[in-house]
Amino acid sequence: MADWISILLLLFAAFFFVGGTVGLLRFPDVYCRLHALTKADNIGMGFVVLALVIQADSWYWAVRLLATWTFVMAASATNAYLIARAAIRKEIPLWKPSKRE
Amino acid sequence: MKEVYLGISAILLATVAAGLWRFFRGPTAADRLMVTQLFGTTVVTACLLLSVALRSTAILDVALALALLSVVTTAAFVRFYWPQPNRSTERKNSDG
Amino acid sequence: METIEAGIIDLILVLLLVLLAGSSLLLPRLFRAVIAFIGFGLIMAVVWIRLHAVDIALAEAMIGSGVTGALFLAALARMNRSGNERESANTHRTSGARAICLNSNGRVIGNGIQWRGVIATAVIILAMMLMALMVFPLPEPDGKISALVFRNLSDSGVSNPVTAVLLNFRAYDTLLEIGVVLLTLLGLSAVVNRDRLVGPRYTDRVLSGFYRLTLPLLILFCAYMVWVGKYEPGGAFQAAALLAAGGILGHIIGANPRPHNWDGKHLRIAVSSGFAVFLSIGVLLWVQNGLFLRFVPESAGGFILGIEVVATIAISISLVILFHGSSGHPSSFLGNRQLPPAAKEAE
Repeated sequence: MADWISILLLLFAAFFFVGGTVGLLRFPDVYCRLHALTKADNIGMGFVVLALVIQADSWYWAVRLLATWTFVMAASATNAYLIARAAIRKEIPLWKPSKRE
Repeated sequence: MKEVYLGISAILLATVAAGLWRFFRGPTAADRLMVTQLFGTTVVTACLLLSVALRSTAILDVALALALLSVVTTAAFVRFYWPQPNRSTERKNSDG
Repeated sequence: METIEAGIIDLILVLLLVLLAGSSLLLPRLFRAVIAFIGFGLIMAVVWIRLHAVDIALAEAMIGSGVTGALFLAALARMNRSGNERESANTHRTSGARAICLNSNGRVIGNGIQWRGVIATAVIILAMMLMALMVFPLPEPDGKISALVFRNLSDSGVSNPVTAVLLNFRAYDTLLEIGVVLLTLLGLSAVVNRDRLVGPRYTDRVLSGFYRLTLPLLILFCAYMVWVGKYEPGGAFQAAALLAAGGILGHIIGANPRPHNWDGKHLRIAVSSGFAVFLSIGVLLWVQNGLFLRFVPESAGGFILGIEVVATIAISISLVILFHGSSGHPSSFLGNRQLPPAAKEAE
């Protein structure tokens, strides 16, 4: 039973990762792409960690997996913020959706 | 179960390969740096899956180290590479 | 692990490796080449894990993503910067073999097609074909060396075979490697102004916050790596790379301690202590046991741990100094156009 839950969670994770990459490829602007990359990849990683924690043999594994996830979130947030702030300072223009008449 | 982990790792690595298109295409330098971030997060997740598949706690160390050190690369980029002095024509350039 | 999924993973990894390696050699814009190289390092870490070489994966991940990435980007920025200065100052062109070209945006690119990259690729492919010709007729590896290692593992003082080989059976090689790091540092200090180890304070709340959050963890992780090298993948070089990455982040922020009352002497002692201690232990063992670096089972564990701790500190400080020397003083990027005096004379 736990196996099926893990497989389901891993499929969600794969979906989010693929979605994040699709966002990276398709979004029109640096800032949008940064959003897609950071958020989708981290949620995907969260699902993976959840799936692995369910399958874990011992508390040691579970705690280490959760700790790794926490630090990846912190690092991704810092990365994204740094890149976005540097892009703003370089005055990279934001994408504006064109009005359809 | 081990095959499932390996299969999901294969999917993750395939998304990384797909993300490389943005590396070749991306108009600004930040797009190319985001490829580094993509690599980092995906390789960390693949390492987590591999560590459970191969039952080795050392690979968890690899994942943790990668997570923490990705910030150093981005910090160096933001601090050194991007605040470039503009040329005398005062044109702000952002490609790279 | 010869399932089909493992085969697919291997295939994707190989494709990625070839793509990234080709990009880093052949792309004319150096920034893209650098990013491709960083990605290459990360994928290599996964490859090492697939080859069951987790120690090397640890080293590759830490050095490739921490130290090398920052080093190349800072050096590239310095090249861009000095290229811009030279062009806008319009002084006498230092002509001759100037391999750096600037494109219209002031970015460093190569001279059209990177002929160096093409030649390097051709040489590598040729060498690989030669190696394949020479290696395939050889007989299968018969596992004698690994059997030898495992037979003597219990006498070596550690239980991780990689550490046993690095620091006991082939300790001489590791001694010389640490010597090479020291030599690199000596070569660098001949060229740059070494006394300014720290940068100006760069007020960045986000980075400072992250640094404060993770520096204790990095130090703890480094100590854990040194200790765990005895039992499981880990070791001194990995720990040093980790600590060096923390030091580099601190240098970028400007948070490294300012040497008010240290002079160069303390740094010199710290940096050379790794090689010195290793050498002295080798001589001590010579006196005790009759051969240079001959470990005996009773005391090997203690000596190895001592060597690893000192080597970690020495190598990490060396790496931070190498980063600082290669990137130049950060204030030169903020409009303060003071190149170090040695570089000025060289021009």
